[in-house]
Amino acid sequence: MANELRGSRHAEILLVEDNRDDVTLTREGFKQSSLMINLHHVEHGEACMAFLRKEGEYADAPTPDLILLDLNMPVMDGREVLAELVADENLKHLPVVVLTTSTDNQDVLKMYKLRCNAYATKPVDFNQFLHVIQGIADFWFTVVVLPPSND
Amino acid sequence: MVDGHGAIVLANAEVERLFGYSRTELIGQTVEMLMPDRFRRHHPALRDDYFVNPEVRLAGRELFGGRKDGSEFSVEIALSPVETDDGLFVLAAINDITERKRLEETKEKLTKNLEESNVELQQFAYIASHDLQTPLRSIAGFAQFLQMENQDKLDEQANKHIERIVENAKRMQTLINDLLEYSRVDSRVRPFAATNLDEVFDEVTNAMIAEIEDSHGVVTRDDLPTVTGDRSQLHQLLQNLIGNGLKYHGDARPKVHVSAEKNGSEWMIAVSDNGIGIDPKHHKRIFEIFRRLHTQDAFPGTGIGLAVCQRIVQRHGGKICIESKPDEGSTFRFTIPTQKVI
Repeated sequence: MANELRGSRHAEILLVEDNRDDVTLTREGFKQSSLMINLHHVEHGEACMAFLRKEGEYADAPTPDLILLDLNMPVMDGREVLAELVADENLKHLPVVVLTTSTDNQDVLKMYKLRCNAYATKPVDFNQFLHVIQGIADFWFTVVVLPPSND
Repeated sequence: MVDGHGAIVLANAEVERLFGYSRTELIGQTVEMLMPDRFRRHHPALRDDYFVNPEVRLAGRELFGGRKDGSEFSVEIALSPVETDDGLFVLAAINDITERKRLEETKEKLTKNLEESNVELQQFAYIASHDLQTPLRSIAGFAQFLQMENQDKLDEQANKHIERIVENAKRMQTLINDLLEYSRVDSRVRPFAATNLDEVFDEVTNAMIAEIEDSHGVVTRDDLPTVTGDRSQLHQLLQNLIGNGLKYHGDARPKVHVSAEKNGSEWMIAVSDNGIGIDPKHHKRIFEIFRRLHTQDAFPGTGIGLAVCQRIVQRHGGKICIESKPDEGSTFRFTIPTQKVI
């Protein structure tokens, strides 16, 4: 059965982001949403892969309903994460929204070629940023049908 | 000139100068004496083969000459068989290409340096776009967040100050983006292709429909030529020039007209407006990056448009200039060579 979130449980979002300020602002953005959301956070791609594979300290981590992926991060960046995700039979169905500062056309094209589900940029204006976060939350948790959860 | 046995029968002053032997030392000796040691052993066989089937051989291959003092240098040799009553001779024309080779090597090195610095520039531009903008988002974001959280505690003055912070962060972001755009004119290039400027004009005016309507302006064109260039850059060039024509207007309804004329081996494209014009004393400076002649209140902007225009025109091998006086409108003219060799 398709994953039906409305009212049944919290939506699990994994935010992969190295900048602490952006994490705070994103968290605030989701707080203002009327949806019930658990926002998990990891600082780079390696931690993201460990989280998704429930390795080490992430043994009890939930499978996220949505991954918000930054592009430029230390250790393992967003491009590498997405490339590894789509090559992994157990993870390739997870929806990924790239959320980044980069407006570079080549980044946009590359991430879509790697089959990200959406690409959004972070505006400097906080009100616009809230609008982006709200839009992502609304679309992914009230409009679309998510892949069924194995948890 | 060499005979069938490889003996030198004739040598001019240039040979003496190049190889350091006198003519008396040369005549009668085999031609192998003019080669570096390592080639001498195998050459007689090659020479014999040539005499079996003699034909004109043009210079082109890079060969080596050996001087009397043992030093080597790069040469090109053209061979022509000469049939005489005394038998077959071969006339060899020897060219010292040391200088040419040095220039080629220098050119190669410079090109490589340029490619490397271009890659570095692209990386720099990318880092600038990302790393410089991230702190700006924090500055603006937290200021607005503060405002949101403390709505009832902040007075009008405090709210205004926060607005100033956000406004300036956004302006900084615009400046960074403009700087990037400027740097990309040369670093992110597409190959040149035949580009119909009538089509580009139509695309530009379609894309600018809102600006044209808002300013109640009229944008017109004559027949424009097909030129060789980078379509997206030519689009940007026309868009910036037409945009300026619409933007810097006085009380009159803005009119912008694009025309073209052929001038020898180049096209000259003119973008004329009926706007506020520019004092000739500023004409040189308006193409400088971030150079502005007006306050933000009078005409907002960062001063990137014409700098980008100039860079695009230069990349196409042309020139851009302005003809204008205050209150008499402006005409920007740029040239594009009809045959651009790349």
